Amino acid sequence: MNLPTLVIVALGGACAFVGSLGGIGGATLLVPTLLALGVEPKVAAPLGLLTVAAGSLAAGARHLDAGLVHHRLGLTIELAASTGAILGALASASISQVLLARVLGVAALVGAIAALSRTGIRNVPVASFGAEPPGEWPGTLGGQYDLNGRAVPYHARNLPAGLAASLVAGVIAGLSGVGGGFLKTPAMSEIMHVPVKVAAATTTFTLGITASTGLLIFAVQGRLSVDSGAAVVAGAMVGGTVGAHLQSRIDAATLRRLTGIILLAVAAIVIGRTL
Amino acid sequence: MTGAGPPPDPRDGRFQPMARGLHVALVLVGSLAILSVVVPAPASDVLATLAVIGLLVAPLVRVAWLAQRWLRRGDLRYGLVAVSVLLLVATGALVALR
Repeated sequence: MNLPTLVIVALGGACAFVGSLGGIGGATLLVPTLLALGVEPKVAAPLGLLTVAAGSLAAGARHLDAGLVHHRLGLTIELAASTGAILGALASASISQVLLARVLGVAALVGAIAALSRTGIRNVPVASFGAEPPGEWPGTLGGQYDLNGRAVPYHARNLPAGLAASLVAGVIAGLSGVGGGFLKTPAMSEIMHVPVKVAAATTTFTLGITASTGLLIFAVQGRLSVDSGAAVVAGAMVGGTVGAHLQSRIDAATLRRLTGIILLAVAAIVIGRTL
Repeated sequence: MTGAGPPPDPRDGRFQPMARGLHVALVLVGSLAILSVVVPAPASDVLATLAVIGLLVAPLVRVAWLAQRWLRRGDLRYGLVAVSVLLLVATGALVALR
């Protein structure tokens, strides 16, 4: 890869910053951006997964403190996602550069649609749950979270469909180096009826595992460059942390629309270059 | 009956050890990554490798902590789910070695 180190740091920081603001993850922006700059998909994919892992680590403690992560649900669907990531990572070395670039372009397009179309409130506060601490209920796929001082209970539904969507997200993650969060979060919220905040936080937790799985395979295959990888991690951690702090102060719907528009442009460039 | 109030909920603060561990991992990995960009080789290579290893290992350590916690508390189903995820990750690495 011919990009200077500082450019890689800046790209990692900028993509993680925008990704954390819009809730779509940094790799969904970083990988198509690297492709648009002429970086090969086989090099861009591991860097994307490093950004995913960095973002997951950066947001983890904050989400835990807020009682938003449902570990049992996350690990259940992660069985499917990690299986998909393994298959995708193993296959990515054998797939043509053009097909891989098109997969990434379509992934960016799906991310754009997910960012631009996320709406709706399904789970409402219930006063009788107010005395319990927010978080998952042990031994179940249910829990409650705090919404402006009120307890909102929830329980995951349609598990088989959610597992299928996670498998697809995992394959895309393994093939392309994006985290698949833009598929996992809507799958959890729209298919499994989990509140969006819980879905996003739980997805962020599982993305770390999916990324580790893919990175382990890339490392075994000798495709993990530690110097450029550390550079993108350095940028992503700073950008993701700053973005997460600012997220509560800026209108999320506006940011999602902006992120969706950027993703549309990136998808058009990446797919257009392969035609 | 005294007015001592309800007993504390045992679920309060249950993830504080994990949150503390994540904070430590974040500072450590972030520092290693940033230092690897500013110091010259060969130290930068060592720091970069440690940062990437830390980033790769942290989520897996988190899952292992959850697995032992659930199994010790009798949540056998999800304890086995967590163990299965770790086995899946290990299987993927072994398959990639072939």
